[in-house]
Amino acid sequence: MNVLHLFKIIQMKTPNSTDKIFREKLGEYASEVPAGMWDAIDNQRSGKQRTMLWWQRKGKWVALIILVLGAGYLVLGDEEAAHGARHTAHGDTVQVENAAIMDESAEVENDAIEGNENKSSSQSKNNNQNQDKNNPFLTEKAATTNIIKNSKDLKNTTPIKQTPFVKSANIINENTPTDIISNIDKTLAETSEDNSILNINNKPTPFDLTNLQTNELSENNLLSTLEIPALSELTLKGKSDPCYAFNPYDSGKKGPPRLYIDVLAGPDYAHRTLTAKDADLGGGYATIRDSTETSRLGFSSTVRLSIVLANGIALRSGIAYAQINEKLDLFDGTTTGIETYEIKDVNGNVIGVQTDTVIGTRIKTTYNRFQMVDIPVILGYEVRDRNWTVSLNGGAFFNVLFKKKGEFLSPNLAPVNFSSNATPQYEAYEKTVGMSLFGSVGVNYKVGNRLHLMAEPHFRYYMDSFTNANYPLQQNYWAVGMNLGIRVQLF
Amino acid sequence: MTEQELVKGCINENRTAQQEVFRLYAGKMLTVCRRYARHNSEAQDLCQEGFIRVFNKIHTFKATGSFEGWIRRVMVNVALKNYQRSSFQKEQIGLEGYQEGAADPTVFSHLHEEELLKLVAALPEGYRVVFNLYAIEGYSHAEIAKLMGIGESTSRSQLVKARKMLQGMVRELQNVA
Repeated sequence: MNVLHLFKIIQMKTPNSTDKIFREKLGEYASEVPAGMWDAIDNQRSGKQRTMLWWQRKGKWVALIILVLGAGYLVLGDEEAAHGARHTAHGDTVQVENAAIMDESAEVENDAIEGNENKSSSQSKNNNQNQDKNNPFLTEKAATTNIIKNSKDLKNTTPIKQTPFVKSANIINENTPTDIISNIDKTLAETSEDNSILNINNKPTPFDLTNLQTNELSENNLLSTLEIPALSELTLKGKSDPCYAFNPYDSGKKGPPRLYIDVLAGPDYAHRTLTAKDADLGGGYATIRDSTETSRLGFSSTVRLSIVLANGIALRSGIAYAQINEKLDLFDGTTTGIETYEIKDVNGNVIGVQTDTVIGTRIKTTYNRFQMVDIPVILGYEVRDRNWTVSLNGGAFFNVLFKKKGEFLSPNLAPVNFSSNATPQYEAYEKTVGMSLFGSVGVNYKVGNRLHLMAEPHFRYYMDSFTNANYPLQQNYWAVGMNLGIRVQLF
Repeated sequence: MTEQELVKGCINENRTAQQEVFRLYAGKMLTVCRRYARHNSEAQDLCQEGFIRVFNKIHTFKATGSFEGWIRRVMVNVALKNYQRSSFQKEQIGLEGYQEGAADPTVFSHLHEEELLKLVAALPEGYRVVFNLYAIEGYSHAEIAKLMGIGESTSRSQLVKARKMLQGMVRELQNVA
């Protein structure tokens, strides 16, 4: 026997030699494929499935584009809406100012306008006409401020399009800034000597109407004097900012209800309490179950419709899913097991029986879960402040489906299977878990025209025991969780 | 068709390319499935399910590795899923006191592949899976433990026992002969 042969024998005697033979012989071995297998695969992958898969592969780009466009629409649409709201808010300010002036000095104003209109300097008018043409902003401002001059006309103006203010601006757009200023000056001076209705904080402003004189206007200072804040800064004493009052999210207690769809999901932690129905018989058993089972992080999700009235009261309902997870750990350090196997020849005939006695540890881990589908009925109250909404919710969940899966120690301290589909099933649980009480605080942030992000920590208390009357323990739960999701305004 | 063209064709749901892939690899993959299955009909089901999964997930194949290796991994995963499907519960039995037998492993080299497959198929399910993963696929005990949800020591002990059972079966065969 040479050294090489001896080495081979030693190598073959190592534990891996068995593995190596199997790896070499079976690793590349091709079995004979049954004739119908390809047809079966082809049939199983139906045309519909192929089409769906193609869309899944190629359609992700389509989906991405749709998502980007959708997000863009939601976000930019919101910006456009906000832009429109700003314009409208300006108009709103003018209206309030206008109304105030009209209310307190209608007669004087009319006289002043009629009396002074023709007295406006034709030179100034001509000078500023050029400026009007070259400066659209000035034209716009002039048109806006000139509402006061034409307040008489406005009384008979029927609003069209979006707001009456747009219409007003169009009507009076022909007037020049000089006319406007002079008329504002005269009107305000005559109608309110101390200008007490105007809140300008007693500071000189770029547009201090009381001090502005027509003859002081020049091409240069006209721009500066007319720039920006204009009448939008003029607010009525003791009244809220009319811009804000026009914000649709601060519409007071008027307006139609809003309908939202809320999609929420997040982790839950469920706390279990096992109580013996008969303390003498079940106390120790409850302790054993508690020591062998532990809670794990669960999950809940909700899809619901929310109807929110203008006064903030909300009614919500939909469908909710909750899953309580637990783990059973059994450990036996001195297990003795006997395992018996049939030994077969290459033709599959049983040629003997092998019996092994196994001594060692036994660890049994079972992941238990309780799944619930519920119908929530929730009453809420929402408070809005611009893009933020805070809600307080309370209600009840009505269980419609209850499934369970797993094992626990029976009163005989043997592991039993209580799964809904187990045969035989250890019947310890009810068919449904009845009603549970729900409470939550929600915070929403508006990120798009109709889109909100939501965070809703919640609490849930299950009113009834999960176990049935025959089982010696009552198994009750309460759960806390944090749901995150989105809210989309349907209308 | 090259391998790259086959993969591209399969991604585009080209039936000819899919059939070619099946023709090329079905035999070897059926062997893989037979090693994990309890009997031939189960192996055929696994192989069928595996190829369906291959065609459904082929867009996830990265051309950096072997295509055959990727298909093989898919088959093994399908087999493992089948093994775990029936039970959400995992019962582990340690074998700390078990001693490996001293049978000569060279006897396996004289057996035909079909005979070896039958020996593997005769192993208890857990042992069979561990033996296949470790001895033939080349997984480590840590990887097997993770895949099967068992402890590494359990994987080791099941491998030892699988080897011993295989040797025992061969001894019986020799005795019968």
